[in-house]
Amino acid sequence: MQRVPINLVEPGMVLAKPVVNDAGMPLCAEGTELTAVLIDRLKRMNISQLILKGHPVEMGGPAKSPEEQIREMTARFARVQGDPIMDTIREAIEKAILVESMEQQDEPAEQEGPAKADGVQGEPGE
Amino acid sequence: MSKEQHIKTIARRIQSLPTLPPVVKKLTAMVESPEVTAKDVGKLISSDQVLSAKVLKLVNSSFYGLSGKVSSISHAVILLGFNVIKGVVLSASVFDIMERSMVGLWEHSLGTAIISGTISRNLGLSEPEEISTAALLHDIGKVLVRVSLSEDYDCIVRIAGEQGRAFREAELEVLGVDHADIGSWLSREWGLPRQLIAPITYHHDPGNAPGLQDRVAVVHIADSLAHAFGVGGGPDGGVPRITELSWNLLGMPGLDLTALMRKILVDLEEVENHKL
Repeated sequence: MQRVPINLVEPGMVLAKPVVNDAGMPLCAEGTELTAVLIDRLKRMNISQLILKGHPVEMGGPAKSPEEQIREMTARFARVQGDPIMDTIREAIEKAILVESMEQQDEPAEQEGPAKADGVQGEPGE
Repeated sequence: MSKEQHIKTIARRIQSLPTLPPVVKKLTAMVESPEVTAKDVGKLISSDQVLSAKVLKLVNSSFYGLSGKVSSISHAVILLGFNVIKGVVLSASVFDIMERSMVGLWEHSLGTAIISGTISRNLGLSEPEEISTAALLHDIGKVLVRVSLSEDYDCIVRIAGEQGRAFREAELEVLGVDHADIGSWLSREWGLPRQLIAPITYHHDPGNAPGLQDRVAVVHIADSLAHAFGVGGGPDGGVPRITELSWNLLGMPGLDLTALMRKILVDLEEVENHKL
């Protein structure tokens, strides 16, 4: 899933989240495949960005690497470190971040389904 | 001084509650009448355009499981029920009062609502919409302190920041009660249903909830997870500890936690859509 400014959106890309206008009115359902006409129409309705399935646009911007995300997340757990429940949660989030980032690289337009975390082991730095 | 006395003192110090749009008052009176219809409520909310836009935006968010399908307020009332609509209207109004400096709290509230929805649905709990709405309002007491007791608020922020202490501890020191106590009082003043009051009151202290324990536990856990995912961390960005009682009550140890956290990670993208 990726948030993309509308001027970088191209036909064939798929909405991961519905498009809702400023008045809260739904315009396009999630899962809609975008066409040139549709993108044009959304632009005219002043929609500035869309949330798309996969990671279709390389923006190079400030997107944080999974390692960075994990480092920041771990820091937030500092005060509760050693608590068995909180440690379990931290590990699960860490795995989730890794699986999610791997999936975005490998299968750009994959449907969001239940996670299969079984195959993921050996996080970097361990 | 007991908690009740502290609250009474605070209530006296607050000259007037944050002014809510007249629609909210009318709505409160309206939903208590047994003859009211979804159409009546829809009409009333729609009379305030800004409010109805915010309400529609909120009800179309994923935590109500209706993302992008609701196009009118009366439709929303039918689908979500009066309790949820009342909560949504309240949060849309209250957060409007909030100043820009509290943008983090709004994001945190949204994040907690989204996570509550994800967890409730995952566990198959009944009325996930009400649980999400309670989550949306869980820190309402913080808004009141910020808006109506701003000197105390500054003092709390300073203590928490300088001494590296939890925000809640600083509140107890300055006010004698925490934002959950204040939120509880406020939500009773506003005539919210107990399904919403309980999670607001006990989100830090789920073990003491006299009932509705599963709902309280969801909001308690979602609050902590929102901090864990870094959604709108305030002056005190640390992850609060989850009680073993709530964790076990909901059967969390039996879940595929990685899958749940992935779902949450994806669902949280939506916070961006509701930024003030």
